[in-house]
Amino acid sequence: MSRHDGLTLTGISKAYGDIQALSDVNLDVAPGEVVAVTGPSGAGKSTLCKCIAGLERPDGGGISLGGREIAGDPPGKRGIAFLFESYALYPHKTVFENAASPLRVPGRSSSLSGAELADRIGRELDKLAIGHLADRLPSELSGGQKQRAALARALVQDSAAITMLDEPISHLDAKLRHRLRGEIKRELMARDAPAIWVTPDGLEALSVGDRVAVLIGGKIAQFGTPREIWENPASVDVARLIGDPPMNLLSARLRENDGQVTAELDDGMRLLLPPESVERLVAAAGKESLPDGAVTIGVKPRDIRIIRLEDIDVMTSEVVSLEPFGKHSLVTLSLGQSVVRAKTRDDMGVKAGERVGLSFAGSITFFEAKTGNRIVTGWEEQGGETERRAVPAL
Amino acid sequence: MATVDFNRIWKRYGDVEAVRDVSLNCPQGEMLALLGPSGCGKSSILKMVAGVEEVSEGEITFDGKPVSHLQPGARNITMVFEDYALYPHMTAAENIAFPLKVRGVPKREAAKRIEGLIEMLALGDARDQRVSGLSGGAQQRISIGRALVRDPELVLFDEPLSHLDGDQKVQLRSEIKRLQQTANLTSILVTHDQSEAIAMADRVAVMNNGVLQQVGSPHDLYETPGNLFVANFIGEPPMNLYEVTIQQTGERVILQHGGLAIDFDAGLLSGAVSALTSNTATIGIRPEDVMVMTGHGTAQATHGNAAAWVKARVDYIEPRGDSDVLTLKTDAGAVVVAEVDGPSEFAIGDAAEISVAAGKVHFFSTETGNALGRMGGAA
Repeated sequence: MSRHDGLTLTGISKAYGDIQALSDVNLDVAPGEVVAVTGPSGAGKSTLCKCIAGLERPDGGGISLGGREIAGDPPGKRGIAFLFESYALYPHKTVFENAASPLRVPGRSSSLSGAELADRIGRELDKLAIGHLADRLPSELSGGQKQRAALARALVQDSAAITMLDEPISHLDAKLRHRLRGEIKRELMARDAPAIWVTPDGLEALSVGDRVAVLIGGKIAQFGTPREIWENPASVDVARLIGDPPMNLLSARLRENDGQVTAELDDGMRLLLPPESVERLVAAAGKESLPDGAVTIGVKPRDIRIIRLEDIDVMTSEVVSLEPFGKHSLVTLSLGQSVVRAKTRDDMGVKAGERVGLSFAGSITFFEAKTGNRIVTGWEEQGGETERRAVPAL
Repeated sequence: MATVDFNRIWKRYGDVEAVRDVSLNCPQGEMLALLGPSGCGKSSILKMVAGVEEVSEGEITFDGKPVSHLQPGARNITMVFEDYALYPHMTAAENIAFPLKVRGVPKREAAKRIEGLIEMLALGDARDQRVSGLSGGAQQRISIGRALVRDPELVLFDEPLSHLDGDQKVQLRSEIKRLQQTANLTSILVTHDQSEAIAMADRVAVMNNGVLQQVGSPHDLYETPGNLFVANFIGEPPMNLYEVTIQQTGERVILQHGGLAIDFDAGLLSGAVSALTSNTATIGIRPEDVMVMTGHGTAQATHGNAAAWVKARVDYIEPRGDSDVLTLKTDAGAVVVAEVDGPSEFAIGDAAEISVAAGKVHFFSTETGNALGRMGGAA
C-alpha cells in the first residue's frame, strides 16, 4: 500500500430499522498510527469495525484504504486483520492452527516456509503468554486464553492493510492487561499500516492510542490526542469516560455579586473556585451572560486538595471513604449533597466520618448545563491557544 | 458478627496442594482480602469457609468455636457473587426479602429490616423495579442487601466488582467500604485485582501457589513488601527489580546490574539494610520513585542521599491522564520504568537522566526472595 494513505472514513452512517447505529462518522488513521475508539456499550464501536471490514454495509459514506475506495469490495478482498470481540475461533483447530490460519489461505501463496511460519506463530503466542497452550483446542481454554489465541491470529498478519482489534484485552486480568497493552501497541507502531483499537475503557484508549476517537450514540463526540481528550474533554459525556477516576461533575448555578462570580450547587452549597478559572470563563463566555447561568463544573480528582478545617477559604466536607493505593490515596468526600473524589499524594491521615476542608486547585472545566458541551477549561494556558466560544444560554 | 480464625489449614485435591498451612485472623468488624493470581488458593479458602468444600487439615473457627464440621447452612454465612445471582423476575425489594421469606420471619419485622437496607444501600428508586432492567451496580447493591438481611456472622465477597465497568466499579467499591465500616461487618473478600483489595479491605493477605506470602494493611504491603512476589504483585506499574552486585570502594557504593551502575554515597548502605550478608542482592525501585530529568547534562548535582544521575533515553510512553509511564533505556541497555506527572512533555527518543533517592531502594535476598530492608536509614 502507499505510504501516504491510511484509512479514511467519510460520512459513514448505518441504521438498523429505527435505530441509528452510526451517524456521519468521519475518521482518519495514518499508516503506522494506532487510533483508539472508545465509548460506552452500544455506542456503535463494533458496528464501525464491521463496516470497515465489510461485514456490514453502511447506508452511506465512503471508506478508503491505502488510497483506494473499498466500500464495494467483499470482506476477503480488503486485506484486514480483524480481532472479533466474540473471538470466532475455529473450534476444531488447535491454538497454533487458529493463529496460523490467516497465513494459510488457499490460493494465496504464503511467503513463509513451514519453519518460518512456526517461528512467527511461536513468537506471537509466547509474547501473549500462551505458548504452552499451542496444541490445545479452544474448548480447553479459559475466556482470557481464547481472547489471546484470537489476538495472536490477528497480530501474525504482518502485512495486513489494516489491523482492527475489537476489545483485544478486555477479558484478561489486570496485571496481564497492563503488560500486554504496551507490547501490542509497540508491535502495531512498528508496522506501516494503520490500526484501530476498540475499547470501552477510556484509560486503555488514552494509553494505546496515538489519537483517540470517542464514540457516543453513534457519533464522534471528540477525536484528538490523548492529551487533548484528557485536558479538554469536549462534553460532559466524554469527561465521564476518561480518567481514573473520571472528572468530578457538579451541577451548579453561576451568580454575580458585586462583580464577583460565584457558583452554587443545587442544594445551595457555595463552591469556592480558583479566581483564574472564573476569569477564563468570563473571558470565554462574556460577562453579560453570566447571571443565573446553569453550568456543569468539572474538577479532576487530582485538583481537589484536602486541608484542615481551620484554614480560611475552604469548603466543608465529610470523608466518606479512603482508599490507600500507596503512591496516592483516593478519598471520597461529601460536598453538600454531592459526592466528589480526590486523588491525593497526601491524605493527611483522614478517616471515614471525619470533617475536613476542601479546595479546588488547578484547572476547572465548565460545561453548558443544557447541551453538556464544554465552554472553557483551565488548560488553554499550557496548551498555548486560548479558546473562545460564544455561549448563548449561559 | 464473628471473629474468624484460620489455624494452619490445608486443602489437598489428590496430589495437588491448593492451600498449604495458612493461618489468618479476621477480627470482628474487619474486611480481610485474599488477593493473588488465579490458582493461588484464595478461592479454595473461600469455599472452605463457606463449607462447600472440606478442610483437609487444620481448623476454621468463628469466635473460637470450630466450624469445619458444620454444614454450610449451619454457619450463618452469606455470599455476594460476581454475577449477582438475583431472581431476574422479582423486584429489588422482593430479592432482598427472599431469605427472610424462606425462613418465615414475621412480616412486620421483615419489612423493617428490608426498608432499612434499601435506605442504607440507596436503592429507593429501584425498590419496586424488576432487577433485570437495572444497572450492574444497582444489581450488585441488591445482592449485598440480600446478603445482609438475615444478619450473618460473616459476609463473603467473591470478586464482587468483576462484572462492572469503570465508573460503577469505583463507585461501588467505596460504597462497600463505607457499608462495611458503618454496619461493622466481618467480611472476607476474594479478588485477583489489587486495586479492589486495597480500596476495600482493612488488611490484605497476598497468596501465591497455595502459600500465604504476606498479610498486612494496604500501606504495609506497599511500603514494606515482605518478599519479591509481593513487591512485584502490589503496585501498578510493578516495581523495577534488578539483581545487583554490591561494590564498595572507599566513599562510594555501587549497585551494578549488567552495565547499569547505581552509584551512592557509601554511608547510605548501612541504614535499614540490616540483613545483607553477601555482595549480591535484588533491588526494587517503584516507578514513581524514579526521578527523571529531561536532556543530558541538565541535571543538577546529585543530592546527598540520591544516586548519581544515569543517562537514558525514552523508549516508550504510556499516557494515563494524571501520569505518564515512561519506559527508559539506559546507555548500558538496562530498562527502567518511571511514572511521572502527566501529561508530560516527554517524547519517544528523548534524552533523559534518571536517579533515585536511597530511601526508595528496597533490598531483597536473591536466594530466598525475602526483604532485607531499605537503603539510607529509612527504617
